[in-house]
Amino acid sequence: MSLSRRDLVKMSVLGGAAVALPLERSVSAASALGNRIASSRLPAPFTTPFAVPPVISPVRSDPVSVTDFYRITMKPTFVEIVPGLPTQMWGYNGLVPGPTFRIQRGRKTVVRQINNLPPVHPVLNYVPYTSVHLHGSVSLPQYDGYASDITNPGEYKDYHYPNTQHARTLWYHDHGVHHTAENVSMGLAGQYHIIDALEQSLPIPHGEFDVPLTVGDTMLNSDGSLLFEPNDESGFFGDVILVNGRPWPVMQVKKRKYRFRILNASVSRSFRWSLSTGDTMTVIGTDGGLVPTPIPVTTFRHGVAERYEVVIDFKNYPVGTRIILRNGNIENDINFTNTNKVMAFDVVGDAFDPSGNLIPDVLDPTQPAMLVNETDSIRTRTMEFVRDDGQWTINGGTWDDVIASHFTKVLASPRTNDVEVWNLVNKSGGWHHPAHIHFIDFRILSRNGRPPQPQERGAKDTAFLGENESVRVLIKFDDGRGKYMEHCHNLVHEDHDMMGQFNIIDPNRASDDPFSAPAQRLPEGPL
Amino acid sequence: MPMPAPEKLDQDASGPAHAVEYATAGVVLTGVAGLIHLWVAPEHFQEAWVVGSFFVLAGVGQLALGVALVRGLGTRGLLVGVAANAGLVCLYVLSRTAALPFLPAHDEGHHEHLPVAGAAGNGVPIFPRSSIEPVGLLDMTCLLAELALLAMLVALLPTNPRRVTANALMALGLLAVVARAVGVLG
Repeated sequence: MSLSRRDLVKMSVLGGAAVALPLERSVSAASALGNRIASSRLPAPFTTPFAVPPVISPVRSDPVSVTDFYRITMKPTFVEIVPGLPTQMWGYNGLVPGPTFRIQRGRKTVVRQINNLPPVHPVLNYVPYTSVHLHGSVSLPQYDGYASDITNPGEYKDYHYPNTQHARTLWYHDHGVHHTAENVSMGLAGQYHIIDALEQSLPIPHGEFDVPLTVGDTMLNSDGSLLFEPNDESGFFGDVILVNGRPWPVMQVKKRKYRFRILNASVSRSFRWSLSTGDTMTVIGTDGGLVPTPIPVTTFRHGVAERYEVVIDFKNYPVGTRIILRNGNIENDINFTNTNKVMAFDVVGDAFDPSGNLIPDVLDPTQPAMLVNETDSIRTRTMEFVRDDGQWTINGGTWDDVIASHFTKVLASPRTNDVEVWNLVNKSGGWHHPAHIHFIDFRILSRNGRPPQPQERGAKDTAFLGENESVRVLIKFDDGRGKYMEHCHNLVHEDHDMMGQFNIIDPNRASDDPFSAPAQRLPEGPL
Repeated sequence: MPMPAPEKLDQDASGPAHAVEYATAGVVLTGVAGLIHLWVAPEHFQEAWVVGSFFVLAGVGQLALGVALVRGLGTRGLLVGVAANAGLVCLYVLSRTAALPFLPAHDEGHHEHLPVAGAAGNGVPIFPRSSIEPVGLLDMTCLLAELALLAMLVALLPTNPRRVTANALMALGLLAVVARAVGVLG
C-alpha cells in the first residue's frame, strides 16, 4: 500500500504550517514598526495641558562645606502618553523628565543616585546599569558619568558637583555604556540649572516665566509600551513629540516675555524651531550659559543634547491667539505626521508681574570660553566621526578599543590650560552627529569655513556636525586633569560605539581616576 | 547509489508498493538536509558553540539516517527518523516565529561588545525580533527536504503506525496554526 491521499492531506497540514508561518513572520518582521500604535489612537496635538517638572529640594545642607545633599531614586513609573493607556517608563524619583535642580553658583552639591530599576529591561532584556552624567559640568572624572563607571540595579553612587561655572542650563542623564539610548528613551533625563548673581540681576524673565522645555520623541506599541526601533543603528526617531513628558502640550501664556530653556533630550532627533507666526525669537543662552549679546532668530537648528535659552515675547498677540512652536525638516531625520509641530502657546489676558520683561543689550560678556583667543591655540587636532564596517568610530576607534586598552587609549592628551583647535569632521552625507566633548566649553570658530550659525555664537559643549560638515572649535582645557569622554550624542551611535576619551595632563598634579569612586551596594550608607 | 532491498524493509502484509522509490527519495532528501546543516554549521559556531554543535549533530544524524535507509530500517528506526525530523521542523518554525531565549541575536545592526567590568550582566539590549531568525533560501530548501523526507518515512511505515504517525504530524501542524492564531507564534 502506498501513501494514501488521506495521509498526504494530513501531512500537508504540517507542511503548510511549517512553510507558511515562518514566511508570514518574515514578511511582517520586515517592518519592526508593525506593532506601532495607530496614529489615530495618539492624542491630538495641543490637547494635553503643559506641565513643568518640580524643582527638587536637598535632603540636607552643610553650611561649613557649603554643600547641598540630594537623593534621587531611579525607578519604574507609569505615565499616560495616550489617555487611559499606561506606559511604563523609568524616571529619576519616578518622574519623566526628572526633577529640576536649581543650584546657586558656588554651592557644591552631592547627588545620591540610587539604581532601583528592575534587574532586566522588560522588553530589551538587558541589565539596566546606569552612569549619571551631568552634561556641561566641570565634574571630576569619577563623578562625570564615565560610561564604564556603572551602577548596577541594587547599587547607589554619590556624585559630587562643584557648580563653579557661570549660570547655565545643564542636564543630567544616563550614560551607561551600550544602552544609554534605551535608558534615556525610558525617561532618565532632567534639567539642572546653575544660577548666579549676574544672571539673577538681569531683567530677563525669571520665576514662573523662566520655563524648562525638555523636548524629545518617543514611539508606542499598541499595548502602550515604549517601542524602540534603532533603524539599523542609524538612530531612533519617534512619531510622538514630548515636551516635559507631555505629548504636543498646549501652554497658556500671558502677554509678556517668557524665557524657555530648551533641551533637546531626544535619542537621535534634531529640531529646526520656528513660530507659526513667523515672528522672531531671541536666543539669550547656549550650552555654556548666557551669550554675550542677544541673538534674534526666526528659525534655528537644535541638535541632540544642545541647550538653547530662548525668549519669546507674546505681548503683541491678541488674547485667544494660538502660536505653534514648529519643527522644520532636518536632513536624515525620519519624520511622521505630527513631528512637524512641538507645542502650542495660547495667549491669555491674565495679569502678570511686569518685572523681568526685558532683554538687555548685553548679557554675559565674561563667559571664559568666549574670551579665549584663537591665536593662543598651540595645536590643531582633527576628530573624524565615521561609520566604518557598521561600527560608529571616532578617528577609527571605538569605546570597545578603549576598554580593550584597559582605559589607556586616548584621542588626545592636552595639558592643563592648553588652548587647542579641534576640527570635528563628518564626511558622510548619510547622517549627522551631535559631537559632545565632556568637561570643557568651546567656542565654534567656523562651520565649513564659514561663520557659525547665529544661535551658536555662545559657549558650547555640543556641536551639531551636519552632513559633510567640518566644525572648528576653540577649547581651553582650563583647570582640568584626567580622562574625559568625547562622543556622538546621537545615543544610538554613542552606544555602538562612537565614543573616545582625552586625557588632560597636569604635570604638577596627579589626576583622579574615573573608577576611583565606585558604586556601593544597597542598603544606603549615610548621606 | 545502492538500492535497499525491499525485503529488508519492515512491511505489513501488503508492503509499500513503492518502497524502493520511497527509500531512495528518503536517502536523497535526508542527504540534502544533512549537508545543508553541516554547510551552515561554521557560521552558527560564530554565534555560539552550542548552536554550531547542534547543527553538526543534526547534519550528522540526517546523513546517518540516509545510511540506515540504504541498509534497511525497521519500523522503530523509521519512527525515530520521523520524530527527529519532525523535531527539527518544529525547531525551525519556532526559530522563525518566536523569540527563543537561548538563541543569540540575529539582526544586522547587532554588535557584540566587550564585557563591562563590574556589570551584573550584559548591558547590550536584545531586540525582540533579533532572536527570530530570518527565512533564507538555504534553510527553506532544508525545510522542504525535511518535509518531503517525513512523507517518505511515513510512507515506508506499515499501515497502522503510518496512520497514527500521519495523524500525529497533522496534529502538530494544527497545533502550530492554533499557536499562531492565539499569538504564541508570530
